[in-house]
Amino acid sequence: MLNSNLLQLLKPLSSPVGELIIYVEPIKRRNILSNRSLVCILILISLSIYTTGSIHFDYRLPFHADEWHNIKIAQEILKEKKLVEYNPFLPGNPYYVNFNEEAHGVANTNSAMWELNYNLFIALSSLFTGISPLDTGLILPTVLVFILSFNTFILVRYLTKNDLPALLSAIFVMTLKSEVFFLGPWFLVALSFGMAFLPLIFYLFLKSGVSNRYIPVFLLVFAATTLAHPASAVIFIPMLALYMIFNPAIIRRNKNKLLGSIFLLLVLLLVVVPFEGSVAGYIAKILKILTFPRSIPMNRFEVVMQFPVYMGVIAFGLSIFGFFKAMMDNETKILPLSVDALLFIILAYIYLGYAFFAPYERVVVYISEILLILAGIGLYHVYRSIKIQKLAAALVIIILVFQVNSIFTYKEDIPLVIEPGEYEPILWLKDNTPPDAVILAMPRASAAIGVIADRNVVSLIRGRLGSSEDSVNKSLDFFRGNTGTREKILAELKPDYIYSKEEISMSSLKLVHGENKTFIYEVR
Amino acid sequence: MIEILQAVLGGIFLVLVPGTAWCLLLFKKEKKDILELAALSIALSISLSTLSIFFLNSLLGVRITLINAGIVLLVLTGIPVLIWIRNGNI
Repeated sequence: MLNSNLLQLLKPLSSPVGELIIYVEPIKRRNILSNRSLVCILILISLSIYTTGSIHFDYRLPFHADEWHNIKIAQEILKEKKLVEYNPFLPGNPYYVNFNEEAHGVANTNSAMWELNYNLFIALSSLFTGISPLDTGLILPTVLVFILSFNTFILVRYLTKNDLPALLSAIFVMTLKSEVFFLGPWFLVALSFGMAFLPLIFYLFLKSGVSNRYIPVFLLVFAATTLAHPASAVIFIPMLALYMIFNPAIIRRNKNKLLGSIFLLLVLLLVVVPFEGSVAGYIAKILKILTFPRSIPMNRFEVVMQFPVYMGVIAFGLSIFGFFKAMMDNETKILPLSVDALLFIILAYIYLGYAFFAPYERVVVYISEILLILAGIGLYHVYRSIKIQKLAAALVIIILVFQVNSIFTYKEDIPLVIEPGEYEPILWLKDNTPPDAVILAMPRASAAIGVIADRNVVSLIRGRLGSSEDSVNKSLDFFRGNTGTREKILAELKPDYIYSKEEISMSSLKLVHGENKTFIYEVR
Repeated sequence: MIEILQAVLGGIFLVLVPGTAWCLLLFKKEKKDILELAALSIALSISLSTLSIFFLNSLLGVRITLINAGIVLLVLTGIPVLIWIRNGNI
């Protein structure tokens, strides 16, 4: 009924889309949008808002430093009306570092283009909806979590030919926990974009083997993901390679398609990392980019043991059960084999000290995402194995309630970039300082100053963007040091204003604003 | 009220419209359900719109403005419609 009414409303549209929507009419007669499907969609939308949207109900600002950095780049794209390849927080700053090369230990590579497609997506979302990039940052993660769960639903429904495991997997996958170190779906980071399309890329890969019509969709989605978050695309190489090793018939049947895909990969590679010098030098550079050394000494058992804690013990157990069940079907085993492929990277990181294809933290998130999809399949098989239906249904509901509510586990551990009370003082900077003013603040708060006040800052905490260690240290020294140190740093960095959480008594500083235990000084 | 309407319609225009047009053209001969079409449309819309504007700006220097981006999305939607008409479907 609802479907029929919707079509009646859309039919009179004379736009090109309206013409095309008429095509839906014959589809409608097949009664494909059943009430059950509609209920599934409504459940996924509601849970996306509960698990991701609700985290901003009591804090109306982004959490992670990377989110602020992404919003700033989107703001700059809209301001300059072009893609930007510089750090928009620090133009003209002597400590300027072009994007995050140094932070990732990648020297002499042009990483400025990395993730730009994601920043462009944020900018376009703001442009078309009329919502500011800062507020877009609060909404987009929820949208991407819905896309993630919806894509999971489509993949698992195709693999199992059943709506129930698809719904269970879609619910499980949106309970992937966000954490400041591993990131996750709560944050406005490019990883969330890659995670959202991971299930659909699996689906399109499998369907491309069946019908050529899926190939352009597969290539386009893969290309967009590559330019939005290269790690999320590169990680498919080991996963799909292992699947093809176990299914050599795929290679024999799809030689031309595979060659086409390899060609596309090479083109994308040249876009992301421009060719310079010799072929051997270029290959060495690529290998260096795809190798991530371990920088922090770690307890090797901790890494393995934290999976059950990170995902939830019940989810982890169910994922192991789902893993073995999925191995029994030719197409469904793409999921457990992908876990195996990523497990090799984890083991290499633990025993050799290097992660390959993507940083270790990202690999943990991808493997957890796939394990959560498998947990949904595992729970479905548990449900089917229980003879008393009411008991089985009650068990499924209890597990889902626990799992969904476990998502808030790490919320209190996320360090805030600014306290809610700091928003007003930063807004004061925007309204009362010249547009080219340079603000000296703690490196963490500088990200929020750059976004909310749209002013240049001296230093920036490392994330998607960053500033040199020297600038960060000098900023910290200013707020921790004595008057002599402060005078020396002021003379060197030459800021116009100081943004401080503590009162500073110096003859060269004039207090111009104080609010919510935040003090703004003008440098005389 | 107008802001909410712009947010909803602008969002749909960006993440659904171009992909839907292409999906209906690509899969017109196949039995597709609405859910699969919706998932593919969202993915295609986001991919097509961001990639087009990315390369138009990087290679041709086309400025990223609401008008330019809107034209790009309209063209992306219009191409499958033209193919549809040319194939004698209307």
